[in-house]
Amino acid sequence: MIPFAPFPRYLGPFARKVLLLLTALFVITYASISAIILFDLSAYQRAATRNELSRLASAKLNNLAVEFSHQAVNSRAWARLDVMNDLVTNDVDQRIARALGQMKIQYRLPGNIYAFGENGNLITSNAVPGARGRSMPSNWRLTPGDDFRFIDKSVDPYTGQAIVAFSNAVPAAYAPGKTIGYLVVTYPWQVVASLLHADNASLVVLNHSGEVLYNGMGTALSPAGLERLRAHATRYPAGRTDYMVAYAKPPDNRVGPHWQLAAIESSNSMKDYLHTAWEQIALGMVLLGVPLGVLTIGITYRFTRPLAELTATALEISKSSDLSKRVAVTGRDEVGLLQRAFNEMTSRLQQDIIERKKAETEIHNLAFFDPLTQLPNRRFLHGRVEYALNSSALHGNHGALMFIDLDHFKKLNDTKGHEWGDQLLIEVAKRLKPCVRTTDTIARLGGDEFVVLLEGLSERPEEATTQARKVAEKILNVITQPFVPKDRDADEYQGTCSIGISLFRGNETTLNDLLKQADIAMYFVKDSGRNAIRFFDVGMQSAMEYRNALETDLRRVLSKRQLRLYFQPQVDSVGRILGAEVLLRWEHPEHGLVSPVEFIPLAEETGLIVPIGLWVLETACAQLNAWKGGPHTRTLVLAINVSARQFQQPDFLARVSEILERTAVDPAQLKLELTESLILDNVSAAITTMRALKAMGIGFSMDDFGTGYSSLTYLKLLPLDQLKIDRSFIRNIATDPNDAAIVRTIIAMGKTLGMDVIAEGVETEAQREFLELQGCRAFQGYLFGKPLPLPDFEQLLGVRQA
Amino acid sequence: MATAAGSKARALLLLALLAFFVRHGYGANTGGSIIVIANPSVPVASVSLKELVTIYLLRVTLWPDGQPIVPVNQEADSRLRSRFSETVLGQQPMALANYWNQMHFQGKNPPLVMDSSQAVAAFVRKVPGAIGYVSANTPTEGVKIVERLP
Repeated sequence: MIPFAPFPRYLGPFARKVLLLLTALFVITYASISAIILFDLSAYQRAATRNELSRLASAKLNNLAVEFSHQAVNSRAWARLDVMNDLVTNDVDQRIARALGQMKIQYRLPGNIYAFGENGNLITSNAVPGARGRSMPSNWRLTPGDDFRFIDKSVDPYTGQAIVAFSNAVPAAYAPGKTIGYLVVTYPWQVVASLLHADNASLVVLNHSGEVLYNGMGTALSPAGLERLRAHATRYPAGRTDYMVAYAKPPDNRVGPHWQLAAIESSNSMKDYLHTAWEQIALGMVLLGVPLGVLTIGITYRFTRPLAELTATALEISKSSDLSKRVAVTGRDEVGLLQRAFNEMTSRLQQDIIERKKAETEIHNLAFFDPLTQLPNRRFLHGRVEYALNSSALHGNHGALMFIDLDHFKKLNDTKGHEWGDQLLIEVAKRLKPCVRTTDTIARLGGDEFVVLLEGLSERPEEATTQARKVAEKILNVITQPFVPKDRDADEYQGTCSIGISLFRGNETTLNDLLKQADIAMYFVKDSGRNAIRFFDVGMQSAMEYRNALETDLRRVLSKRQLRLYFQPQVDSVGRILGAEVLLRWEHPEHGLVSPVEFIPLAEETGLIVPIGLWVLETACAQLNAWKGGPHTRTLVLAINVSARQFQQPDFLARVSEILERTAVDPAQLKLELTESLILDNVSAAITTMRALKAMGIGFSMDDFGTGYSSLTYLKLLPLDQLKIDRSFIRNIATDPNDAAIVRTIIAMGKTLGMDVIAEGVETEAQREFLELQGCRAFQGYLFGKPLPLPDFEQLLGVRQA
Repeated sequence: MATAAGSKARALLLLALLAFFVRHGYGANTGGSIIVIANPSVPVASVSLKELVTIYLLRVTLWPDGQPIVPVNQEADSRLRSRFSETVLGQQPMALANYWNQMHFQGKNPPLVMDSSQAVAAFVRKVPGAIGYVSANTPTEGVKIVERLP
């Protein structure tokens, strides 16, 4: 797992941005809503306060009015009591005084009652008993005709108290309309003030002339404030704050004072209310903000954690190059898609890298191993040999390099198919492995060439040779085991191989030298019949070098005109020259005449036989053409050896035809000598070519007849003109009855098949006689003439014919 | 209505009998005499007992010169009022109280009540047309004595 960083790291810049944004969003939204609510609340509160103030003012004023009315009614009733008639007697019986005392108690009057006589002198009072006879204060007096008066706030002269009072005229009970005195009931201002007290507002009472009667503000009214109150302004300035004011006025028909009552908003009420609102908003902010904040952090964390994990994983991958890492897919949303895509990408990259590595391995293998057999290739071998050489130099051990070549592989590969060949190679590789130690190296250089490198052989050359030979013999043995191809229908194959070995010690030789040496040794095996082992030696080297030099020269032989045609006469029984076998000689500038036995196989091997053969054919035809005019030469038939390789050339027919045409030679003067092996390589193709040539008029002679395995069946099918009895039968014809029998049979067979028979290598008269006796009519041999250069042959012709 | 008037008459008769019996039973125990006084503005020199009855039973409300008669009574539990009621008005004070209440409801003011003879005298002195009764030993300056009762 990826070691995840601790929590705070996930609040990266993005997370912080989101958090900041959400917080800002929350604060702005909350503040806006709060502001709106607060605004509405304050407006509502303002209205409510105004209503409340208005109600309070009305209620207070109403309370006062009720109270005053009550007092007025009472006082009026009291003034009409019977006992008040005692005013007439100056209350001589003290009845009024007693009544006033009883009223004060009974009605719990806060103030006092004064009874004045008709002349306005005080008769009795419950407040100041000793004040009898004092005259009534002027503001208490009634206007004539009135029987009641409300006395506004003033000082009671008897008690010194601030009061309001209710002044009543006392009517005489016995005489309607007659006033016999006055009854004044006072009401202490203290009580009025207590009625005017309000908890949530301050009341101010102004009388009808605008004087301040009551001030509940606690502080003196400012002149400006007073002015505003008098003008009924709805706002009252106090310091920096505006207070709301509501007014109440008693209805006109009410008994009582004509006061104006102003209710002024208490300095605290609105502020307190807003303060509470603020507190609630702040509390709401906390109550809402804290969980919202936690939620935001949680959500942000949740959203950004997968991103951080992705980042961590990507960094991890880039650091460790380990593409097997994946992130957990957390959902089906966009982040989940990103995670999925990331995983898809890494797995794709991983796949690509695996494939690339596989390809690299393959390339490496291709570079150092043979894809078919999985054996090391030449490049790998190179390194191994170099190492082996150094190791040998260090330890003094011998090493051996074996060159193994499957015999006839190329031909088999062509005829049986490449698949078969590949199977054989794989099988060979498999069989080679157990023949060597694990420290040894088996390589395939290509085609059917295998190389085995043996290391750490003995220090002594003889022992090393023995050790190497043992391995080589083992290899020869396993190769000769029958090979069963996969294809059941195909035949089993028992192959052989040729092994050349090059021993080495020290590091003077190079891989190429070693390979060349082993190759030379192998070549010598091939040359001497295959299926054998040869160690390389120096003589082999020089022979090889000679051969190589010869090969080099042979390539230039045509351009340097070093080839010569020799003619060996072919005669009839009376010694007349019928023609000649054309033989090839190489006039080498250094080695003199080189035998065909020496260079023809080389030419065959290198393919130079094809141009050389054509040159022979062309030169022979040119000679025939040159001889056309001569009386002794114009009927001569030249026998030309055709190699298998040349005969199998697809354009052979065309080339022969072209040469004949160019040289204008009668095809009948041309006789092609073929060997049995040439025909047996591919009988039907050979027959086709032969028939075509035969149709042109060219004759055929079967060379070396008797040495092969000619089957009479196809001998009959071949358009042959002549059988040439091999010289080996002729040599002992006079002494060996077996040879004689064979020759006799051949001659008889030739007669039966309608073919001429010619004997070659006739050297003695006895041989000639025997052959003639048996019915042979044509001869060739030293008895009649050895191969001659053209001038000598022409001279012979001239002599004989002449 | 006739039945109701009949029973009322019977009740009055019964009350008169009762008053007569009480006057004769207790009369000997009440000492002193009663003076009937009036404001000097009263146009008569004397008032007969019969006139006193008509005045106090509110049958006559005006003096001959047309000014209203203001009768003054003594306090209900005073012996003077009891004697005045029995001897002058010929009725028990309780019955008279009932009578005056009825009169008050009919819109006629019953006689004003004073606590003492001095007060009655003071009132009668002050109020024109006033008439009252006081004990014989009461100072009577400023008022006119219109009757003396034994």
